[in-house]
Amino acid sequence: MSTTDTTAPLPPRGRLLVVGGGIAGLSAAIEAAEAGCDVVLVEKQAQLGGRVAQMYQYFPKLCPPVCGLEINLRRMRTSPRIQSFTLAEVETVTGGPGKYQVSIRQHPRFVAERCSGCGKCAEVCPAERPSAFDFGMNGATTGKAAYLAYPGAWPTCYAIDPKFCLRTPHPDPLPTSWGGGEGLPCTKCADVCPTKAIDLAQQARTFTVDVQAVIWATGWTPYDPSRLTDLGFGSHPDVITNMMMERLASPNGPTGGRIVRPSNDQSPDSIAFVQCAGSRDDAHLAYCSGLCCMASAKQARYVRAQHPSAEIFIYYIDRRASGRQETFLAETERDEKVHFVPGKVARVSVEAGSPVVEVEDTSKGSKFKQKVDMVVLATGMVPSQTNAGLAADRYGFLSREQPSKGQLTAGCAREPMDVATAVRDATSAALRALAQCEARR
Amino acid sequence: MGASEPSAEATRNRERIAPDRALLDRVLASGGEDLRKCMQCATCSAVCELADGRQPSPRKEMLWAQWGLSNRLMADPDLWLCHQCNDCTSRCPRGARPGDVMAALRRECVIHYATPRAFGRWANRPASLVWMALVAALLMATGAGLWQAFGLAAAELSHTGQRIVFPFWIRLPHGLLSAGFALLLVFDVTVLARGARRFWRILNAAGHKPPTPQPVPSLRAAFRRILWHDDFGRCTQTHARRTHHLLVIYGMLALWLTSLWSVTARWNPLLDGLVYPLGFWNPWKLMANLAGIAVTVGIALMLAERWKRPETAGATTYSDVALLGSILSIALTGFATELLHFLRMEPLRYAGYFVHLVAVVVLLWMLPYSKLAHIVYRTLALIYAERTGRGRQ
Amino acid sequence: MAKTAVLICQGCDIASSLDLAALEKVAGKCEGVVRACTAACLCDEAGSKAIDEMLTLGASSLVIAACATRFHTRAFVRQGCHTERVNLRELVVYSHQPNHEDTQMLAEDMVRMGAARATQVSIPDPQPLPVERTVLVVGGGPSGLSAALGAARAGYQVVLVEKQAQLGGWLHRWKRTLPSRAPYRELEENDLPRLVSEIEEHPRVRVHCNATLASISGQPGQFEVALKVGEQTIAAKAGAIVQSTGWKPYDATRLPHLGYGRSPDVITNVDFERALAAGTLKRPSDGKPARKIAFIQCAGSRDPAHLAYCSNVCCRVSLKQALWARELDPTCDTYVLAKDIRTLGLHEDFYRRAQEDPGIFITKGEVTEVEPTVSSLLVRMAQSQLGDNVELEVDLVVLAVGMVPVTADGPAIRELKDARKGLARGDGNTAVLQATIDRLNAHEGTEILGLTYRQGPDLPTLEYGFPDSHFICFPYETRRTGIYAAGCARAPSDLESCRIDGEGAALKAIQAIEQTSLGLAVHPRWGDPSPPTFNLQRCTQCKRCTEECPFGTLDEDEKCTPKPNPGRCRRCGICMGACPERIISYADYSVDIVVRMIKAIAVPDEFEEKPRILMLLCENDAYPALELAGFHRQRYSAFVRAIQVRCLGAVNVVWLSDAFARGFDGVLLLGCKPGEQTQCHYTRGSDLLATRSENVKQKLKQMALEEQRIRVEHVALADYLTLPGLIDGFVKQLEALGPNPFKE
Repeated sequence: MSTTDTTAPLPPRGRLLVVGGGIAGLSAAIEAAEAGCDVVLVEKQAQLGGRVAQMYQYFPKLCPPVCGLEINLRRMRTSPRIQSFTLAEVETVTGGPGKYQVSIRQHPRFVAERCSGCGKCAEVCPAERPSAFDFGMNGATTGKAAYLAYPGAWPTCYAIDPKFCLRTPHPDPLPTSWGGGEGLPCTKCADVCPTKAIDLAQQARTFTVDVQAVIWATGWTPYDPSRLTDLGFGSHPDVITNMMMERLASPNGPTGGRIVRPSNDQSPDSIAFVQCAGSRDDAHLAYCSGLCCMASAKQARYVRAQHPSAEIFIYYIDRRASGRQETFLAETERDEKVHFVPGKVARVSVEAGSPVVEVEDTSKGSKFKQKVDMVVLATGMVPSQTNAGLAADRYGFLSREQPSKGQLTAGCAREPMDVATAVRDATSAALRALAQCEARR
Repeated sequence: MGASEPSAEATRNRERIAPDRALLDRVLASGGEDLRKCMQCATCSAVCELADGRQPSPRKEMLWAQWGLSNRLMADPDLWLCHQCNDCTSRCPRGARPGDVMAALRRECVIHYATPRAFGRWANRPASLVWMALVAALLMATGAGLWQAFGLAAAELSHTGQRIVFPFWIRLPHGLLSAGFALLLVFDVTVLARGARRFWRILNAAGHKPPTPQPVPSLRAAFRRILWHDDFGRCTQTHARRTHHLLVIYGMLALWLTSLWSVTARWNPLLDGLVYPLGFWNPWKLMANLAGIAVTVGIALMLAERWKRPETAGATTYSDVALLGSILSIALTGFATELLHFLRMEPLRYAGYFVHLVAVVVLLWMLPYSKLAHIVYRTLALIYAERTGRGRQ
Repeated sequence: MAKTAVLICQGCDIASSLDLAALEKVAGKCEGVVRACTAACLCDEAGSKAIDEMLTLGASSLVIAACATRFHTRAFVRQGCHTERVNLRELVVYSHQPNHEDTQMLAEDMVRMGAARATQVSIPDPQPLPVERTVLVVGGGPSGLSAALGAARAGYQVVLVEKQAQLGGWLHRWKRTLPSRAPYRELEENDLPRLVSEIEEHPRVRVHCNATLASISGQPGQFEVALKVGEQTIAAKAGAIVQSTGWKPYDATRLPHLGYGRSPDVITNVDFERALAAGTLKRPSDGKPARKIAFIQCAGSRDPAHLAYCSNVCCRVSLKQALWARELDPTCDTYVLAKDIRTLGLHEDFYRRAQEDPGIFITKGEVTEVEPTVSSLLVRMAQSQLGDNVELEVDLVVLAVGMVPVTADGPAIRELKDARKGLARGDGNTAVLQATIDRLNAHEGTEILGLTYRQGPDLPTLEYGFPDSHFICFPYETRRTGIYAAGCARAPSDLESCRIDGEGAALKAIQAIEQTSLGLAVHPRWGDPSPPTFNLQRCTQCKRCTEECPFGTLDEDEKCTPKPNPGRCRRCGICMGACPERIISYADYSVDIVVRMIKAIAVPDEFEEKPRILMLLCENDAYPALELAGFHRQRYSAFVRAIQVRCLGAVNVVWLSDAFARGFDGVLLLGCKPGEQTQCHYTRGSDLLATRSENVKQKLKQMALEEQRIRVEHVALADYLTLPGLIDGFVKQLEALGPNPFKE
């Protein structure tokens, strides 16, 4: 691979802040930068990539998200215009269109940039850290206080989670299992680090940037399944969510890509997908997330690819695909082992150690219980909370038109959407940002 | 989709969907106003403990109601197999309150099978209750007045031959009362019987015939279910409702028997030397008092439930209030009369007795048109269910 | 030959796993290397100084033997100097047994390859082009309008071409539109007038109505556009193009089973929209008021016999029209008969809104037929929630027909024209040509853009005629550089998505203009400075390059000599791979450079029993996958030698024959998934290689070598954990085959 610095200067465009390093934020930042904007990218996690980094495949192409992510990161790495800050959050935004002052708080990473990602710190780290990235499923790669969120994560620079580290000052007192109190004098990682990159005394810092526009691409979080007790979450280990399924299927996931029943590590002979698990439901999310149907169809496809004998049942209210995704759905429906059943699962109980779904098939007008090996709850998207006083709807999705013209929104923070839509949305936000800069020339 | 010619047989079996907006509007107007919110997700049918596996409800009833398909609804036993425990309502993701819709549909069903239907519709309007009470009072007063005017009062003796002296304005000679109530009963029985017959025929026409018709065992099974209120017991939302309902119906039954006994007592050869009104320790009196208490408590609890937890008890509509109210007033006025008697507050006692009787008349008069008619329709539905094995899947 | 300096990093286990002194010697011996040395750690201050020292020695080319390029990407880059990264860490020490002879050999070969390449590359000097900072927007519908406005606001000139007499497209006919923002409940008044006035008042936008495109020639930054406005032709210049030519309703006459054409009372949603705007709810047949109106969803949609896809908006449109009809006549009943109710996302609230109306009856099922009777229409449904065999008597039937893109398939048109020419000239197989013509006749006269490209006058399309990107993460990755499709021409969309899409396309257009102005490539080889150069004296006019270029970069003169258009070029190198004469090369990438890299690999004789396998890996997925495998300490055979290529399509078969001639035991080609679901950013690189490697296998036969010595595998980045197994498998297979007899 060769690189030659030939990025000659474009006409100066001005400066722009992008909040969120998921696919929407990354795209917005890169597109704006490639149109000549200087971009400050702020991500609150330790690594960029956001939700798509957790996914195994995209629908309808069934291609791995990391490919696109890798190319985007390459574009970012080679661009002199993008400054990215991880473990950072926006504190306040003052000023108006064309001249915002944004104060950004960067939390301590305790590992300097020169980290070579060799992983020795994680090897010696004694503090367990449940991997949020793997939804607490026994993740081998990410289970220590000194962690790299996922293999191939960017920046490839470890971080130390003060919540669990035995040395760094704790926001909360230590779990008693670790002796409790103010933390034990553990410096194993610092001792072993070959590049001497670890500084356990590192403090949070706050700095301000002046920008002409701000793009909020703060993304989404999966709906909290612990609120879906009727649907058996928590009452049986084989009842998981669609996002957990993505991790199970991922080669870099907790099982190395083997789709197995969490309860007994056996491959499932039957899986029930529960559509609208907590969606289109006044008691949970009143709206539809617009892509769970396709996500389940996709998962049905890759489960079938790995377990050709498995029977798949997808219980739905409406089969919601859009545009040419319809043909993917239709193709999935043609699979004789994938059964689309109209009717929402009302209850998931446990009988003889297996989950049992209770449902009415409205096409036949018959009600029955179906015993399956696994249940996948197709949970929806909840917009991430931003405390920046932006205009939002009653569900917390940011409005496209903000009172302050230079404040732009993109991706799932604005509306539930699939990846291609999010990237288009981000690109349009980048154009609007460009126009903001232009207006200030 | 294909433009293929449908077979002759297909044409024969084809059903014409004719939405009845009037029915829909009535349901929306009286308790079922959230019906429109239903998106046919079928959560309701899936959570319903009483629903049958082959014909689950209330999802299909919701659709039929949305489309105003009265033919299907009026021939639907599941309306009556529902015991309004509102498991469905509490779990509906859209807040469409299927429980309330079913209640509204049952009322429509009662009216549909009532004769004359127009009167049924009228009787279910709030204003009607007052009119019925007035008419009842007027009838009794005039009846008594005429009776006395023709000097028949003199003939009115207690069975001991000792002459009882009434003040004029509350002459309510037993003969007259018995005759009147007998007429009312005949009326109730005929009207309900007609409705029952039509309902039963339509049920059997619509539903599948039982494989082996076994009237007797199915009857027995149905009545066992009614006796112990098994179906109430299967609701997960509220178990108390079973107790409440048991209190009321057995209370009413006891009161009904007492009345029957005391009305027939004077011609009863086995009885001798008893004096009206009965003494407090008379076993019949005791039973009646206990029954009265049961009814009062039961109704009170029902009202409390509706008031405290409308989300599980369901929307309270006029017909609910009317029924509960009239039963409660019968019980209360009964007690009042008794109390006044023991206090020897004669004129007032008669007044109370008069009101009591008016309430009874109204109740009996409303019976075939009110929610109370479920005595007949639900019983039929249960028998039908037992015969066809509905609800066993 | 460039003066080259080699710097070897000692950090990250490199020093402890390799004999760096030996490595340094090897590097020093390489031709063109002026200096080779090691440094404790290249990525710190001292390292940076060491690099700068090298430059003072007059080195114009650097070999950094350290970690993968993904790390410290810009740290080792110096202005005006080429930096060659040799990936010792991931590809050698992390992935092979430390201090082993084979590992050392691998390291030495890699340094030699790096040096060979570094000495051969010349510093590319990008050719800035004078560009026209104007965006041509084709189609004045919602997407076109927002693209135009967006580009203008961002400071660019805009030429907006609309074939109708006025702007707005369908929007011009609509009166009320779907809710586009929270709470997504009420119909919105059409805001077209505001938009149009804004456009017309904007100083940077020039609007041409009643206008079509006669032709577009040139390349990004320098498009020459000929507009047909009425009779006269207007010339215009543009730097980039947004195609927002919109959609047309599906032809309902193809739906006789739904009664269209069999009764005037069966109309399309487009017709009904007009009726509603006029405020009348009358039956076309007898003018009587329509009291019962049935909306038949998916009329021809989600149906392989008609439109296999879903048009996204029809469900919401029917709900809108039902609400509107109920507003005009509160006594009327409307029935919405759908397969599924598709109100995705926040639009669910609009579904709720419609449900609140007691006059809107909704059910799901398959409408099988509509039968006109004397006084009414009978709509028949099967497998419906209301029953398996039910019918509904209505006064009016509205068919919710889907969207068909208004686009043209450039390559198909070109193929048709070629076939016609061929037939006229009488060369080639007449039957075949005739078959082609019959197959493609539908494309006759469908031109929209009128590009004068060798590969056809319009964008290539995906299935169903949508010129969409085949990527999910790169929805604007066009196959004609500088030309971007937007709105319903790209995919069925609602108003809001059209506006967003238009703006997005406008931004890509702007990027294309600016990059071209600097002589740099756009995505995916963003910023690549060197266009291909053609040594035309040796060109044999075989047309492979002009036909195989995925981006229609190369035009032809009458003698079929390629005419390059650097602005259209995406630097994939497919032309270079295609050229049998090896006359196409880039400043930093050429057939010769790779040949020299292959030559730089020491091939032990057969008695050493150390096979050598050449691996050519696509830079987008396969090579990063190999790096990641190494980074995660995945071990694989030390007999393979990896060379990064831009695309498997950029592999010139001469490399393979050279390798075998030099005694390599096998060649492993790793690239992206080809075919329908191709993941190749140059759309057909892998497919092209497949055909080429067939030829090579023939060659192998002639050389009396087993064809199993060449293997093509498709690797995605996510396969980094399985990749080592794949490599070792191939090595085993070759060891079984025995050594290549051509070894010295």
